[in-house]
Parts: sequence; C-alpha cells; structure tokens
Amino acid sequence: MENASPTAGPDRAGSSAERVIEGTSAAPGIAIGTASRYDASAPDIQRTTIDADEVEAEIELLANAVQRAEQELETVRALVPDAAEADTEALLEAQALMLRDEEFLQAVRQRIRERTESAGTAVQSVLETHRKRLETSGDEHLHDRASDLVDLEKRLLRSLRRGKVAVNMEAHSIVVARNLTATDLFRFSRHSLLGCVTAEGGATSHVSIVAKALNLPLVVGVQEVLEAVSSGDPVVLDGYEGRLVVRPQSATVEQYRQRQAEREASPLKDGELEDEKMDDRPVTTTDGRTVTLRANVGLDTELDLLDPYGADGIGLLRTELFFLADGGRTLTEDEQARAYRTVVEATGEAGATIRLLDLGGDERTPRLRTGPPEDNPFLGWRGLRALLDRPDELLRPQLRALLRANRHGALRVLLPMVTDPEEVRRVRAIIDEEVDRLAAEGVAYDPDLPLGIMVEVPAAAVQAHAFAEHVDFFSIGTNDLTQYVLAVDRGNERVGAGYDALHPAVLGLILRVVEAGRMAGCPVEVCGEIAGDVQAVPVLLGLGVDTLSVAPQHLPAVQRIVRALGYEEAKGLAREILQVTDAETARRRAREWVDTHVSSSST
Amino acid sequence: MIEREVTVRNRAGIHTRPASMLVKTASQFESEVYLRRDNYEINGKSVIGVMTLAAEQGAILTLVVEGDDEEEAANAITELFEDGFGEEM
Repeated sequence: MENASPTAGPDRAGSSAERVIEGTSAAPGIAIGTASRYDASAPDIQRTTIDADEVEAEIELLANAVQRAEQELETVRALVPDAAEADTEALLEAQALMLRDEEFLQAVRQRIRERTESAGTAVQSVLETHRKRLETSGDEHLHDRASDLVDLEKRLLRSLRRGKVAVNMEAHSIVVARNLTATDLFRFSRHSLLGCVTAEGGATSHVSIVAKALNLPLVVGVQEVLEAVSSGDPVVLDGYEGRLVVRPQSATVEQYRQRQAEREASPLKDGELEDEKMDDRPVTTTDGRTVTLRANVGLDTELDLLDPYGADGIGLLRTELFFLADGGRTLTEDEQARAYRTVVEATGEAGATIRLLDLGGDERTPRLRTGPPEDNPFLGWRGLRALLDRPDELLRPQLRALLRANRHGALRVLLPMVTDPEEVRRVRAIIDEEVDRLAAEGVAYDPDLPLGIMVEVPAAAVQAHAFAEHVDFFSIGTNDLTQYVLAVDRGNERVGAGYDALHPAVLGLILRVVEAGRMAGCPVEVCGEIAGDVQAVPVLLGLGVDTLSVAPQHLPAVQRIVRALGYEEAKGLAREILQVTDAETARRRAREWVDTHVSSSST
Repeated sequence: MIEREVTVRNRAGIHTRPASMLVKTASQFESEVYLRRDNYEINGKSVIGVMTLAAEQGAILTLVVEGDDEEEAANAITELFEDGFGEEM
C-alpha cells in the first residue's frame, strides 16, 4: 500500500479538473468510489529485529507465509492453463522448488534464531548473499537467475505481510495497481472492493474470467493511471467502455449513478440488447421446438446471474473452482454439502448439474493432485480415472455431500473423463454403498440423484449406445472432445488454429450421441463453448440437441438466435454440414446460413 | 562416495529450467548430492544453491554423491549433463 499524499505526482496544476483516461475493458460494470493504490511489488518491512522471546512465533510466521505462498503459486498454476507453455511452467515450477528449498529455509530460520532478525529481514539477508554470489560470478546469463531470486523474495515478503495488506485495504474502494493476478482478485473480493484498474495491459483471460465471476469491473491498460491517481482520489470506473474518470465532476458522477441504477434493474441492458428483456416464456424455435438453456457456472458468486440472464438452472457446475477459491484445499464433506445446498437452492426446480472434481487436463488443481508429473496430462490420470483410483479421498466425500444436498432441490451428477461403461458401474456401486451408509448413520439425504457422463473421450461418443443403459443423461463437453478428435491442443499456437468444434468429424460424433440418447430415452445436452457460439447453435439444434448450457453472459444471444430460427431448416443445415470434410467449409456455411436465415436484428 | 567431473553442455548453461531438473532428479535419491566449482560447493538438492552456481556452457563441475544409492544418483545426474538437460547444445 502506498502512502501517496493527495498532492503528489506531476501535472497536478488543475487538481480539481476532471480527467478521463482510456484503457481496455476486461470485465463489465460501473464502480464509483475512492481510489486505493495497491503495490504488490514493493513490500515494506516494518521491523528488522525481534525480541528473543518472539523467535518461535516468528519462525511459525515464516512457515505460514511459505505455505500461503505455495498455495498462491498453485492457484496461479491452476488458473493459468497458458502455463502449459513450457517457459511459464518451468518458471512456476522453479518458484515452487525454491519455496521448498530446505537449505534456504534453514538459513533463514538460523538468522531469525541467532540474530533475532524478523522473518522478512532474514529472507532478504539470505537472498542478498546469493545475489552477491551471482553478481561476482560474471556470468552473462545471470540476469534471469537474479530475477528468479527477486521473484522469490517478493513472493515471500508479500506473503509475510499479507494480513496487513488486507487490513489496510479500504473497503468499498477501487484498486489501482500496476498489475494484478487472479489470486489478488480472490483476496480483494473478500474486502468488498468495487472494482480494479491496472496500468499494464497484460490481463490474462483468466484474470478477466475471475473478475467477471466475482462481479468486479476491471479495466486494464490504463497507462497513465499510476501517475494520475493517488490513494483517496475520487474516481469512476467504467468497465463497459474501459475508461477511468479521475476526480469526476458531480454531473459525471450523477450520470454514472443513473447508468448504474439502470444496469442493476436490468443487467442485460448493454447497448445492442436495449429493448429486449429476458422473459420467462419457454425458448422455442419459430416452428415450435422447445430448447432448454442452462448456465455453466464455476463460482458461487455467479449464482446471482442465473435469474437476470434467464437460465433454466445450471447445466455445468465445475467444482474445481470451489476448491481453488479456497486456496486449493480439500473441502470437507460438510463444507461441500453446504456449498451444493446453496447452489441447488438458487436453481429451484430447474436444478443443477454438478460435475465431480475434474483434476488434470487444463483445469489443474495441483494441491489436490499428487503423483508424478506426466508427459501427456490430457491422456493421463485425470477426471474419473483419478477419482476411482482413490475413491476414499475425494470421490466418496463428494458423492455423500451431493446426496445430502439433494434433499434441498434437484441435483444431477456429471462424471468427467469417462472412457468405458465399467467406470459408470463402479460409481453407481459406490453411490449405493454411500446411500446405505448415510441411512445407517441416520443422516438425511435424497437418493434420487440422476447420473450422467461428460462425453469428451472419443471412445465414449463412439460407444454412446453402450453407455445409454447405464446413465440418466449425456452432456457433451465439446472443448475436450474436439481436442481429442482433431488431436489439436488449442493452446498450442502452431496448431491451435485447427481447433474448431464445428469440424464435421466432431459434429458426426455429436449426432451419434444424440441418436443413442434418443433410442434410450436419455436426454443429451451440449455444455462446451460451442453451445454459446451463435453460428454453431443452428447446427447443434439441427443435429437434434435440445439442451444447451453456456456461460450466463452468452444466454441472451443464444436465446435470441433460437427464437429466430426454424428447427426443420436447421436440420437441413446440419445434414449439409455433415457432408463437408473440413472445419473451414463447415464454419463458412454456418455463417452464411445465419446471415440469410436469421434476421440481422437478432445476431 | 563417488566423485566425478561433469561438463555443462547446453548453450544456455544451468539456468532456471536445468536447475529445477537437476534438483528434482537429485531429490529422488537418498544420497547426499553436492556440486563443486572452484572452491564453491552447493547442495544439489537446493534449487537456489544450484542457480547460484552460475554455471555457463563449457563449465566443468565436480559432482560428489554419497549414500546407499550413490551409483544410480550419480549416473542419473551425469546423464542430465550429458544430455544438455534436453536443451540446445
């Protein structure tokens, strides 16, 4: 936290003049309040020495700080799938190894004991010796290594004073920082901050996703913000237009207050959606086929979005983020039961589909995931495979929590990364055992818990008919299915361009699942990103899919396109696209179809 | 106790990634692992230590391994060096 005085900074001649600074919107919303500068990179150490009787407490402080720093690092790793990039991954891994470097920690503890240095000072002193050693080595590549040490020092010092920052952070302020991480946002959100603005533009998409999920307006790339704003300055943050107004005139504030009030009354009123309010009428095509639109949710803060966006319940709740938001700790059965109860109560009759913990792949939760690193994590120990391997650790508690919460509404369980029907039979057997146990223990539960599989492994799609007798529903996870079918890692920039779920090979598998579901009377829904892609929606409906689950923010657009198209015509489009042989042609054809069949006001 | 010389072959020297690999490999074994350059000796299981070795391409280090599995440990680590830590040499 900086203590910039209100008159600090250059260019303050007209310090009462309103100033508008442009940036880039990373999460929508309007915040009106006072600025609070946050500087994660310049920690101040308050004390350099401690009293002799404080040594053990200081050593414990250090241990806690190391643990928090490790958690932070794991959260970062998990939230940033881009970390699959070799360089980032290597750096994060080195940072983690440094935090566990027993020789280093031993040296720090020794300084605390023998010289009664504070933990922060001891960390600095020890790292200083290493830095000196590097500097005298005369190695031209030492810059990188020195910066790794600096990162470690900052990380530890930040973690040591973390408690203090939280206390100093003014509630209801707008955070001004050079840069922020997803972890920062989680921490801030507990202090009811109004919004965030950063000077640097490099907000990863994950910072933006987290900001949206937490309902925090975020504007990035406001280059002059560090010079132009001091703690305590009145500011208005416009997360829709990506701009910051410093020392706004009262007329400006009034104007924004009005906009804020309008948005709160109708969160969908952003520009193109002006006259359309979400209505409760069923969503049907022009020729009367009803389509169910559900929401994909990752954090409980998103529950508030279900109603305004007209979601018909939750089609996919990713439980990993619940665990992550808590620092990647394993949540107990009771904690989970409470969390799922909140979820199911927010969805009413429409209910919620809860996906069991999907460890591995790109949504990694390293703390929960033990075992050696794998050469091919996407083809490795992930999803249901990991859960079934050690059922007592995560699977049984999660299933029990779901059975218990199910009393309060309609839950559905979704199994991630299923390859063959035997896995489903094993989960069923475990559910039966836990039902018996809960009954014997006298714990209240509701055994009516529909069980479905996420169709993402191609084998499950090809053999959908074999699964149909074992499951209550199918949910097609097109993101991973597409990567597996096309053998394309969409995060790999050399080949990622070839990733498109509209590839006819993927669509053929979707059709196969839809048909297997229809024969067996099993509902089939699509919950991948493609379900929120307006060009793809007509194709999916044409294939016979009648339930889509998308990010809440995409629901209005999907609802409008469904209402604007005819099912019979969409079937024609799907048949046609199944005949083509590449994604590019399929995509072009889908785009043309939307242009000609859906009136322009609807897209 | 095994004591042998190893040469840094990869172009970038022992920077962050090779340092991590070395420490992870060394930590798989029970034996004590040390690396010495001139008169400076570091613990091969301390990533900060390995990083401060500042070993550039062509540097010759002395690897010292002592313990029940010293043979396997020394071979695994030597292999890393020979292999240039999987990097450009």
